[in-house]
Amino acid sequence: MNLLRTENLTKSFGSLIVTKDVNLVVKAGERHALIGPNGAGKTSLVHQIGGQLRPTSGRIYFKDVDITGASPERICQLGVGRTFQRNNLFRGLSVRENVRLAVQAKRGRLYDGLTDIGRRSGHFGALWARADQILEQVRLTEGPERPVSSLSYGEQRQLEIAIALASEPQLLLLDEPTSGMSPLETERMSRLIESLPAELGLLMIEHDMAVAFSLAHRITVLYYGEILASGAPDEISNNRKVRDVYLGGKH
Amino acid sequence: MSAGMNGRSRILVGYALLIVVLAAMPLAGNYVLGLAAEILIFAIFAMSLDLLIGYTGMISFGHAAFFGLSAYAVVTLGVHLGVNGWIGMLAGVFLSALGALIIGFFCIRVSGIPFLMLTMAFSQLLYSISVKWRDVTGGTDGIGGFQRPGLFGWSLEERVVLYYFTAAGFLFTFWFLQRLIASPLGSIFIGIRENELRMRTIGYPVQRFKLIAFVIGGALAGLGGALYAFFNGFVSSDILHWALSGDAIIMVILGGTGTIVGPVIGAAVFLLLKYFVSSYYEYWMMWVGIAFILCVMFLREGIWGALVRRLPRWLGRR
Repeated sequence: MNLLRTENLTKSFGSLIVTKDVNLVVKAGERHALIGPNGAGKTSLVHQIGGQLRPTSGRIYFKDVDITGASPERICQLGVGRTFQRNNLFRGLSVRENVRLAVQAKRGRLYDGLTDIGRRSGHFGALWARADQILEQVRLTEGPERPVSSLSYGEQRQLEIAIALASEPQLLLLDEPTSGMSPLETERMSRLIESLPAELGLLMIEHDMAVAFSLAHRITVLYYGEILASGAPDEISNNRKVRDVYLGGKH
Repeated sequence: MSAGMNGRSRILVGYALLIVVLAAMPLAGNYVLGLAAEILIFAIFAMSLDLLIGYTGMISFGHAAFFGLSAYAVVTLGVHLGVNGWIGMLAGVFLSALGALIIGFFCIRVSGIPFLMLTMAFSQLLYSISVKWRDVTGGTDGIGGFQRPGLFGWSLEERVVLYYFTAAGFLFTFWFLQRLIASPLGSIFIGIRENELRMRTIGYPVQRFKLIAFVIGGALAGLGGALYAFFNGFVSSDILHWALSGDAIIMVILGGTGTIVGPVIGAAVFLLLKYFVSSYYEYWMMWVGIAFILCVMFLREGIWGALVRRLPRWLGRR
């Protein structure tokens, strides 16, 4: 099943074209890596899919629903989650509250009125338990009451993913999950991404080629806003054009 | 304080202390009682603004609009149409909420400085209506002669009865906001303050929740405004002027944003400075200004914020 399909997607800022006639498909359960040199328009593409940026022309479909230009909250509610290249968290709140807030967006009920969210029983207890479960899933179980500002950079990257998972997406957009990480943290992050549910569709921007080629079922190379090549990892690494412009022939 | 007390009993003790102090106030004489009532009314106003500034991250410079709308509703309905004060109060709070819904509908589309300017523009619009529509509002001279209603055989014309009713309104607002902040809805407001963009990305329709906060804040300011009408029996266009919105912001920041208790302290400090300094010295506003500047420079978290951070060290760990 096609989770995501873009149709001649184009975005320009004046004369600068950042996305040009992009036709991209992500299937359920597919791990799809988006690679390309700096300024290739990878983040702009993800912003358009997530609703942060409005395309100039073309269409975006999520499970055949047209989401072109829809609001981020609507796109999230339909089942597209995302993380950001630079950590984008609730810095003044605790780790657990960061995730609980995202769980509440998905599973909260309007008629809870003035009940104290601190309650650990009943419906609220279930929200907290779900938050803890997600923290376990991203292996961030230490000190859930710590404020986000006291977390290490790598831990904050893990929390980014936890928050995105809390909205129970079918398609997850990861914008450079390993950016700025040490080799050890990168290794942990790859294993975390590997352990995500098999049925989840994943579109991730990745700069670390080792990570991209080991995790992805399919790789799309962007170059000046256009798709240069798209295919299985071995097809990409053997692709002449890709080697010339990006992988540098020494791969 | 005592180490064994858990959160719940500490809150109960806090409320009990507050109620005892409020209940004992009439013993201090009429002058103090009037001052206390005014402080409580402005505390309601400042707390309702704190919901916007401190919890939702929306700096409104037009909050006087909702305080004034309600006060005008109570007095004009009462004086011109002989409407009972209780009905006037309901109408006032409703009108403030409705006004906040309409004004908020436009204002929440922007944030930061544009939001601040837009809220101020709307409240100044109401101000100029109150100045021009003399037949109803009495313009800058105002309109007086409001007859306070009765309650179970007690008349609010009695100072003590009026005070106790005001104190009850204050306690309600204080309790309501504390509960709201700890509720799922409150956690959404706080999330918007912390990171609006991320809130949208995890599926919250942020605009709708901002409007909800704006309407709740407006309605509570309306409660304060109605009580102010009861307190004064008079209303003039000053009540809608941007200067009053500015006073409320000073009260919130002086006491501590995002704390509920802080704005109460801020309102008290502001009004005490106003009445005590002004009896010795004409330029009382200058002292408020100095206190405000010192607060912004050295006590970023406000009076209450600083106390909360330092009290445990002074009391607990000797």
